[in-house]
Amino acid sequence: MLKRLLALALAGALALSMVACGTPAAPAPEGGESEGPKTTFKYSELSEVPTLDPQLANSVPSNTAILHIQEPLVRMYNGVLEPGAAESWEISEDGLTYTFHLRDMTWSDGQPVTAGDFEYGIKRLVDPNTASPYGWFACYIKNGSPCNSGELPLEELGVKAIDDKTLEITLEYVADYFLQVVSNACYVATRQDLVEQYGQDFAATAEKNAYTGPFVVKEVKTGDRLILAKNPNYWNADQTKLEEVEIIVVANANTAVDMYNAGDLDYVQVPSDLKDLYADQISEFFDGSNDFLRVKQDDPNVPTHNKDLRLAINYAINRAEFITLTSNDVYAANPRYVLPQVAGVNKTYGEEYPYEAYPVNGDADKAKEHLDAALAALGCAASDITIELLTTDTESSKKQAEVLQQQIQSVLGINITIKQVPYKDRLKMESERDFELVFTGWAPDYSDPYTYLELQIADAYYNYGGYNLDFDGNVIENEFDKYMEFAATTSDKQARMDALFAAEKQMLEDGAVVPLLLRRVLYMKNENLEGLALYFLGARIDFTRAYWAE
Amino acid sequence: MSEQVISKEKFAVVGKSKENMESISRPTLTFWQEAWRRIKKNKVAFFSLMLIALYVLLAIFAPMVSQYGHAEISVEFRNAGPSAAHWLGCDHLGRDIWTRIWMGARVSLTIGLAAAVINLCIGALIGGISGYYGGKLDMFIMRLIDVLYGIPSLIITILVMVALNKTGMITLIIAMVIVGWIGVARMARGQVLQLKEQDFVAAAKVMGVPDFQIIVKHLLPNLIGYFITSMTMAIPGAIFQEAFLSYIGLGITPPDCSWGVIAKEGIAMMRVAPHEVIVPAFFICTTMLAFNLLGDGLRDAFDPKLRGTE
Amino acid sequence: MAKYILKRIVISLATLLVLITAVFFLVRLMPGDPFASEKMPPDVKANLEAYYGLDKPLIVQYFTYMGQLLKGNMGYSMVYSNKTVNDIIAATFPYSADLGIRALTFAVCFGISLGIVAALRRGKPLDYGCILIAIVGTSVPDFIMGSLLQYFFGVQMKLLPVAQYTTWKHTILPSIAVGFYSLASISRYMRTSMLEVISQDYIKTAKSKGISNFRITWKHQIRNAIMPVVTMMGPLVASVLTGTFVIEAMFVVPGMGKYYVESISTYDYTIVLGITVFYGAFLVICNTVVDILYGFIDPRIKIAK
Repeated sequence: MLKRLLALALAGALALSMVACGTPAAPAPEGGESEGPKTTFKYSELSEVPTLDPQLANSVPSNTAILHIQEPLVRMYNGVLEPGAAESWEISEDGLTYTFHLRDMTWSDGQPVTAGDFEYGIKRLVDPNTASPYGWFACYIKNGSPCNSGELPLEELGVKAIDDKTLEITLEYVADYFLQVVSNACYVATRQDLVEQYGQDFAATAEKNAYTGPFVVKEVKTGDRLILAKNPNYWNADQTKLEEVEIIVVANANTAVDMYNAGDLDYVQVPSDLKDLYADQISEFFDGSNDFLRVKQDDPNVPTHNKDLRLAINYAINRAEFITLTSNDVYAANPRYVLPQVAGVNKTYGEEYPYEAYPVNGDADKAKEHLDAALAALGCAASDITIELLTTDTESSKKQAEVLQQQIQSVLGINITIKQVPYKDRLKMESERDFELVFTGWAPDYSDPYTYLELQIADAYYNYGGYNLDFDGNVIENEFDKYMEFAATTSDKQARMDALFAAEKQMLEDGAVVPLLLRRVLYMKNENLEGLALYFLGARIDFTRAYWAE
Repeated sequence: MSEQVISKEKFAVVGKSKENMESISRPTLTFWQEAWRRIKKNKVAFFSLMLIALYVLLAIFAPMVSQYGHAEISVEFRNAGPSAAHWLGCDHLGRDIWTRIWMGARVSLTIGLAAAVINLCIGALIGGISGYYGGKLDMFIMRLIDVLYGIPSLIITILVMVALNKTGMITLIIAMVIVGWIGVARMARGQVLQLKEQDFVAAAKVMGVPDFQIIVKHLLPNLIGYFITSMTMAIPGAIFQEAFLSYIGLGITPPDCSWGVIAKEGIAMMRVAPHEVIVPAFFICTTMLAFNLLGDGLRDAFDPKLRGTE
Repeated sequence: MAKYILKRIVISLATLLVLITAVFFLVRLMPGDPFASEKMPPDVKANLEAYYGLDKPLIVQYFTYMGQLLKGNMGYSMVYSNKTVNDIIAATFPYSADLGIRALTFAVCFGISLGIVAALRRGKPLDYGCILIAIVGTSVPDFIMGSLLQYFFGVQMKLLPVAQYTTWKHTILPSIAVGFYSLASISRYMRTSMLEVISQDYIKTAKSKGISNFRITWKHQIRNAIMPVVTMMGPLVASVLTGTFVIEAMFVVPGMGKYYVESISTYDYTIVLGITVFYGAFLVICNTVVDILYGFIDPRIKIAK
């Protein structure tokens, strides 16, 4: 008994002494929950906004945030282009010259916004000294690529401020989607004086930048959150109903859902595994990501250089079952290559050109037919073939790889091995063409089939699989490239779209890729929050016009 | 009241013998015999040992006799709970958890034990030498440890993988050992620093026992309690480290699995299909419990200070 | 003593230099590329490499880096392009440190007490209770422990906030989640160590001299038994204070852990180096302090002269 008392006393003494010397002041808690009509909006992002510098941004979170604090020439809202900083614009007959007429508007510090600010922003994007990871996004502009690589001086770039209110951009080639290009974050006006004053610290904190958009940055809390406040100087300030927006970094998707349920968030993305728990509150939208396998085709040592083997793999996969197992039916099986939601001539491309290259439930008989043809050509047995599937080291990638492995192996009897590496390693190996099969994806830069199809042009940098290349890396004479060439030069919109569709059909008949899925995002939002726009291009979540219903 | 008389014939002079004078009356037991004898007496420890043996046997044989493959997926049984067909239910891809658990046990038990034992041997030796010799050598080894400890272990493991240019259990164990021995070495060194000032070390020195023998035969056995404690704690650490390393493509490759991987997959499904995390957690925890209780028994069994005291 | 401490500090600085050099070159041996991205043509990558000086010979980069480091400038992140490593550490370390101190306080108080109680009540139910806690603590990894705590106390019972790190209530669950493993291992070591000490002759001597049980436990047993725990505190303090990735992510604590782990897999060289330097310095300081403490706490140890 005495011993026990002693032990307890000791424990107490120790605890006291530790408390006495420990626990410094916690970082000051912040929690300004004000009463009254709600004008704040809080939501979570899985990853931190890497930068608010428009020309250095190359991620969806950055693009989203910047499009709320800066006004692009043309603003995309829910897929519709509207006048932004440019009140109006003209396109020349040949489709190569765009003239933008700017409205009267000011920066958040009161200075007028001029065409020169836009010219500076675009030139800064291209300037090799800026080292923008999105520098290539100016390739549509005349001399964009040579200026970006430093071969030509910046003065040669096809961007010119005619006067304070007029900006003229000359294109390198006809690009109907160029207005969508300028609606991106990296094309916004940028203040030369601030960039020169702050150097690389430009846009690092709220004070080190000026704003033209519906919101201004109130505070950047590293690793924690980004706080935006309404910009009273915005040209269309009446439209902005929210006074304050918090974008909180919540890396753990389940935690985010818990926070939403606890009332800490007004909008949250829901992981597919939790779909059934919140079935009645969930809505969804396609975020534009299109996942597929690239296939190595120009290497004699990799059996997938055989077209029949590629087709056998394509027919062996049961995409519907794959989607059920890996995403709880959240994602959509994709039996074709191009995202069907992108714009066609009048409606969406998918509506105008419906197509199912491979049945979503797979076709084991056809797969075996192609396999037999492939084995005859390769001169080996199915069990002699081993193909490595390269993928990223996340939980979902692993699941997807495991299902593909099982499906292909059980139908075809060939061996699939899985190699998981960190995301950046996968990207590196992919771009160095060091893979056999790689699980990859592509999000569109603009709403047009071309953004996907251009990846497969034989001599394109992104043709990592080596479609239409021979074993020495030379281009093989082919139909696909001809269709693409026609599409890039014609001014007949219908003929162009027909050619793009023919190109897509051609590459799928050649088994150039293994299309898999289109990502859908599940989300929940507070039922009183209205006017939130969710779209697969630009700012994926657009709260410029969001408001709270009474 | 009669007096008992012991007759003289019952006594005999056996005479003096040199051997008998020095002999020890208890049967001489080797270290291991003695330990085994004491383990058998300790019911809790013995039961733990049997449980571990059972798991090992199941790991070897259960997958062989199972009617399902550990990689066999099925849409129908996705997240299915335990049933007659699938004793422990199915996972998120409809794979039989019973089969996967024992496939995983092969990997986890091997890696957990191997990494813990190798770490212990290397760490104890280096720590012992460092603590015993002290001075400049000690300073050097301890600073080397500081440097190794300061390099993010993730970098080291990735480099090991690159250097060996292959994945698999051996690579995994090497990667875990390269940084794993450090903790044991620090601990051993701290203890040896204390112990070497004690009289029995002085006695051994006086009698001319070589330094190395003093470290291995006299100092380290005195630390057996710490070593067993740290080893029993290192095993679960190793199991989960393996799960983590498997994720960065260093460990076993899918569809093969380990307990750590199964638990990690299961935790994502906790709210929807709790059995997917409860089952691996149960096996990990009972294994750990068994190792810990066995460790406690072993501590008593091996400790030279407790030898012969009953 | 002053001379010893001075010498120890000089050696610590040398250790740190070796550490930084080793990490600088090891990071570059890794197979990755900080600028890898889905859309990254070679010209754009060349611009980026030139901008960050990665196109220069490695040895030149090393001396440039060391020169800047001497001025206290650890450079700009390659992913968070407007932020310096200094900014990131300054913003996030206070959170990690705060969480770490709370977790350690919790772990040390309860761990040592549990270990002592278990040893004094050896073989009794109380002892088995302590062992059970220790086993659960060491065999349940932090990502499961964190999930369970969050789910039961935050989501189900709504006793404590689910996440974020603002008021003291918000700090409780993450502190327990981070500290539980340390608590368990401290209590295990403390128990083992106490048992060793209890059977020592000097305790018997003390008893036979008629010293009270309290004095024996306090002055003789604990003081001797706490040594192994002090040994493990050095690295433990450094690792806990510099952040625990999983728990910080789970409880939305804006700490350093995320950058530490993320920067390695994204090959953000400047952050990897910067945090390693910071962490290394911390570790070296902790170990130096522990070494010096040894001399004070343990009467038997004479540190190498």
